[in-house]
Amino acid sequence: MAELSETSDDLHARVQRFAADATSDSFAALALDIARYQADASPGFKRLLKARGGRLESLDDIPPVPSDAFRLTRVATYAAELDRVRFFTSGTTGAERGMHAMRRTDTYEELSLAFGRSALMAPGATATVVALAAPNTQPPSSSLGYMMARFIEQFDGEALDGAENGCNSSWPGRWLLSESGVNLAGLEHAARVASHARRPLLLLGTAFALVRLLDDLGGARLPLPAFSVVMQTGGFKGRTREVSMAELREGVTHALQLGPGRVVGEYGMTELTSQLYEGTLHESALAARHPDASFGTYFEPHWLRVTPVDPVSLLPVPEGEQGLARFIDLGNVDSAVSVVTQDLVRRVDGGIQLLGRQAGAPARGCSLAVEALLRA
Amino acid sequence: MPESEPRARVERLLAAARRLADPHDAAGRALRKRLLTTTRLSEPNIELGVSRCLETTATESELESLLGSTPPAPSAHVLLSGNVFVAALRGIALGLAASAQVHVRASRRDPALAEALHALEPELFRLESELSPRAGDRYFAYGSDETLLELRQKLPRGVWFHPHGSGFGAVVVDASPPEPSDFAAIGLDTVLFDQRGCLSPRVVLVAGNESAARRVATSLASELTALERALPPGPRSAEEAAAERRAHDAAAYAFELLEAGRGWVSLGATFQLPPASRCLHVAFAPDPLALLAPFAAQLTTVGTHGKSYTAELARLAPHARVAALGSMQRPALDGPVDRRASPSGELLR
Repeated sequence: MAELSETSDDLHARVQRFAADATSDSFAALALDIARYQADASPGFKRLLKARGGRLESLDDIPPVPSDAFRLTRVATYAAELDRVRFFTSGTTGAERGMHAMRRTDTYEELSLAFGRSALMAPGATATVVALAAPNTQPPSSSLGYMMARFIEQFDGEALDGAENGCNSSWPGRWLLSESGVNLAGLEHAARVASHARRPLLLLGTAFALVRLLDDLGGARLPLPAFSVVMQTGGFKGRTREVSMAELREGVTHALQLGPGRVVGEYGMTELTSQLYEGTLHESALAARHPDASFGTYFEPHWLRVTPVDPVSLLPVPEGEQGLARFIDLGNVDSAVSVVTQDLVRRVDGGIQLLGRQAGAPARGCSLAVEALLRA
Repeated sequence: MPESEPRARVERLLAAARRLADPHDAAGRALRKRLLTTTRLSEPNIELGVSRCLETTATESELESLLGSTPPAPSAHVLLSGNVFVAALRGIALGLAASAQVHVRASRRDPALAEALHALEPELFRLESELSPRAGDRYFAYGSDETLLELRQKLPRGVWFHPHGSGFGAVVVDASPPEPSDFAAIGLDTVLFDQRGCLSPRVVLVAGNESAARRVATSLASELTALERALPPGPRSAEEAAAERRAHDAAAYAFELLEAGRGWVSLGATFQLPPASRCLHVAFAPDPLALLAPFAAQLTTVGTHGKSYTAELARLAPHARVAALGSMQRPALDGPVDRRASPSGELLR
């Protein structure tokens, strides 16, 4: 076990170096080394690899772990007592929720911060950061909430008010959503603090929380300081009325008096360590690399590779065709380096377009669907 | 003219079913041919379904039970789904037990059996493209739980609603080692109708330890593999193939997995419902019924080996049918196949 841990630590170090300097390693070599480590340390991955040929010579040889596996079992290369954090997928019942555990969080933090900064801020800038989300539980159970807390600490660094006593990501004033709705007074206060400090406001929110914000504003406007940015992530999951992403983006831009391209989409999932972003914020490093980026195109960092794959063979589809999203995420050192989801994607202009979820096979009889049992 | 007595109506339906089950009868041959295009089952599986599972007889007590389970109504309406094809007969029989005026909407995808019965007994019931129940009528509906919920909200007040939703079957194996014939019987129950039915076993719960369960899983995998030759699976859609690949790989990661032809058998200490595509999950525990408890509401039938678990099942899932291995897909024609809903129906208000 100690040996495996050393291998894991070495891999974490290589991934962190690679994230900081893409010339320090090769993506394929790192991914295959992580896969070999996981085949040694994870009986589940070893079984899956064996079922799929057992060879690990190219990226396409790495069998992607279906995201469903995170719900069925523990996806980890080490014992549960070493868990530092356990992130759960959304859902209303225990049986339905998947778990992604991490033995160490520094790689997750470094990777999320590095790419988040490149997509949401100008190089070297800081911002006042608040979240349209409920405060994190202790211990944290949401990877999104955990990431938002790190963004507050690292992208802001200053107290929101005197009582906060320095920048404190668990300060209730940073978290502006509750069962009763959006804390509009808190948002106005954060906007004033940002204005006073001559900084932009970075508002982190899920799509459903942003709908709630628009509903609570009831048509009123709440102008944010110049150069403010909204990070929009996730879907609605039945928690509010559903609106199209374009409509939501337009509504938020109008209500908060933002300039064009300043509502930036983020795509992440509990089963991954890394995230993707739209490259629409013109002063960001990500936009500099993708000057023609448009809404709806998400870019991955160089330590994450998204490939549309055929839903049956799980091999890459021809260029330009849609397929299931297969992620090779070097950050997933201690879980599953390759993960396949039911999200349909297509590669365009150096990024990916999200095309929704693959429809499940229609039931052909009265046999209970697995999903129905989970909902029951 | 339809018979005025419920018993006579049901018996006429069964007589028609006997003709359809007879491979020497032209109507029986025509049905088999049609089912090849409507069910997407293989020819041997259709033949076995018709000859083994289509209800053609009922004992006196079964008939009494069927007739007694269904209160009379001015009209009965039967909404059939693209289901295990033999299920149409019982749905229509329930309607006939309730009323002389029976309106049936066959599945658009698989209307074969309903239409074949109607062709032989056109006066027993009417085939309709839409059903229009009124207050006091009985409405027997088959479909997904979502469809039934939607339907329930749309039906007029005063209708008696008899929903038949989705469910699953389980097998419980006690500590005594099963015989080869037991594995053959479980295999047969599984592959009939390509495991699409709510009576189809999906999980096998073994009273014992992992090695006992592994022996069961290994034998079942061999049996399912062998049955694939005798009863080949029907064609599957691209969506089904994709869903199976995903479920296979997730199961391979989460459990010990034994390939079994196009399907598989997984083995683990926890309950898991595998996809309905000739797959079984074998779980083990000293008290196997404890594994079932959280899912008892979806359980329709239990096949038992050795100990009957009658008392335990009566407490855990009193609605579930208990069947001998190999007979899980042949429930007696004694009322609704799925007993989870009250046989007297729900009066919609």
